[in-house]
Amino acid sequence: MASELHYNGSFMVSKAPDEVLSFITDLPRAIACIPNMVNYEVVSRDRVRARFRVDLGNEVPIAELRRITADATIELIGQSGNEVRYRVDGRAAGSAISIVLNIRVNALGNGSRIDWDATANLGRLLQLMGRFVNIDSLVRRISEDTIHGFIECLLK
Amino acid sequence: MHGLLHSGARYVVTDPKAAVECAEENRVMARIAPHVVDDTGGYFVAVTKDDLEFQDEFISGLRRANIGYRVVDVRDAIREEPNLNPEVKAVIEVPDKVVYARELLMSAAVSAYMEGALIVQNAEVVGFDLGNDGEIISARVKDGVKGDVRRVNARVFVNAAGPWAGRVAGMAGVNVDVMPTMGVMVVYRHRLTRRVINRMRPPSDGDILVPYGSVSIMGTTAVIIEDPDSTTITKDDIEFLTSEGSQMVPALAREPVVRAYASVRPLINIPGATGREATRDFMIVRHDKPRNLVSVIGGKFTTGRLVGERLADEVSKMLGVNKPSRTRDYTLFGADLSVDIKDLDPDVVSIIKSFRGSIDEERGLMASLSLILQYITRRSRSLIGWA
Repeated sequence: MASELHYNGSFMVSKAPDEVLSFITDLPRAIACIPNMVNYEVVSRDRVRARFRVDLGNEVPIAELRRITADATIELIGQSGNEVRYRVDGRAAGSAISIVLNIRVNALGNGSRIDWDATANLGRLLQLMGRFVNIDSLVRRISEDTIHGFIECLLK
Repeated sequence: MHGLLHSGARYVVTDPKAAVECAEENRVMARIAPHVVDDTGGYFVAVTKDDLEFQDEFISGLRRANIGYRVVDVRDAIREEPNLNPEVKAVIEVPDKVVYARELLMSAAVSAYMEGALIVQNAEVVGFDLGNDGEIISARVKDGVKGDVRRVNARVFVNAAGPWAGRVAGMAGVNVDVMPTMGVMVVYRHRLTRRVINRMRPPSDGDILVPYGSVSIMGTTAVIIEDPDSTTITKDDIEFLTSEGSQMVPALAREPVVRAYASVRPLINIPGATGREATRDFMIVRHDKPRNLVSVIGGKFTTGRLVGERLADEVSKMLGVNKPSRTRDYTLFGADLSVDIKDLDPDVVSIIKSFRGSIDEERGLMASLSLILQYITRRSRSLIGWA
């Protein structure tokens, strides 16, 4: 299995690009919208330490591994025009995880179109799980669920 | 293993079949091993809004699995369990129990011995001798006491090595892919609750607090490891469990940590194996080659007897025996220590009897079982010529 996993997607929201960008670059405010957040600590305007639960799903044969706790630092590492870049570094199930997420926001009608792409690096131990479950579809589902949950919250 | 004899409630939403099995085994174990089971009951507590939102689904699951439950008024629950977080939003009582692990295993070992089994401790399988037809003729076993390797012959061999099952199967030429995962438990000095306290949410890490004798045990984590012989518990593990547990029982944060320990669960794949899947939780696999090897994979402590029952029935079938396992109705040794054990050393009998009527009669169970186990392992070694 490749050590880097790549995902992307897009969706529309009924808010103007400026409003969306203003929200997603205000990390202390946006962090509360990440689904399954247990708790978080704002380190600075661009950096948050967070603990959240990750639902790996019922295909994982051990109950305790189906829903695990991840500790991570989320950092806003760049913003240029309509593009925002985050990095997530942390640990889950004893293994390192690292994700770089790019989000681009473009005007579409009265709202915005959001395109995202993510590159995930799972530590060696989490990669071992690929022998038992389809890690690629697992991480894809988690990425999509997380981003959709995030955006639903944004729309409230 | 944190000592919880699951009521099944924990699995009603995510794994209903395992929930039903746990519920049944909870009743069976309380009946056949009353001396090692403490009927504490258990609370599932909702701490957050998310927990509360899970309540309806949880109750539906309890109904479907036919697990008895009672919605408890939060004020009553706090009166019953004064260390419970006063901010809990909902409480449901279920028939969780506590099982004293070592006593149970020793009781089972002594009972097996009384029925004709031999018990040899400190002995490790290091290889198999295969015949021309590919069947196992004997297991090569290293005697940890004397250091020499001996051969044990049998018609059927059972691989019940848990996280080491892959290693043992490999000795017989069977490829079993194992990924061990470690669960850490933290022991706190005092017993803070009468009941088992569970978090009302889908099973996750850090959601069970068990009153175990005079201490409290908080579990568990889920950490992937490479080698089941190499487990390292970190400060983060202890802090995480304390943090999660203190959301249900805030006093845990102030409680001295006595120690932490870890157990290892196997996640196993057997390519091409015909699994007799009893549940997703455990499998009994009769290998195609060697045909006289059976591997048992997975399972919980709560369902350990059931795993043994299915395994014994499978082995009986291989041996052409038609009698089903009868452990479901077999009261384990220890419920009544006055039951005679053939040839038991008079000194051992004397020590066991000395507990009776004394202040330490209940606490003497562990000592008595240890003494008896020592006796039967010595006797077993003698019977197979290892003395």
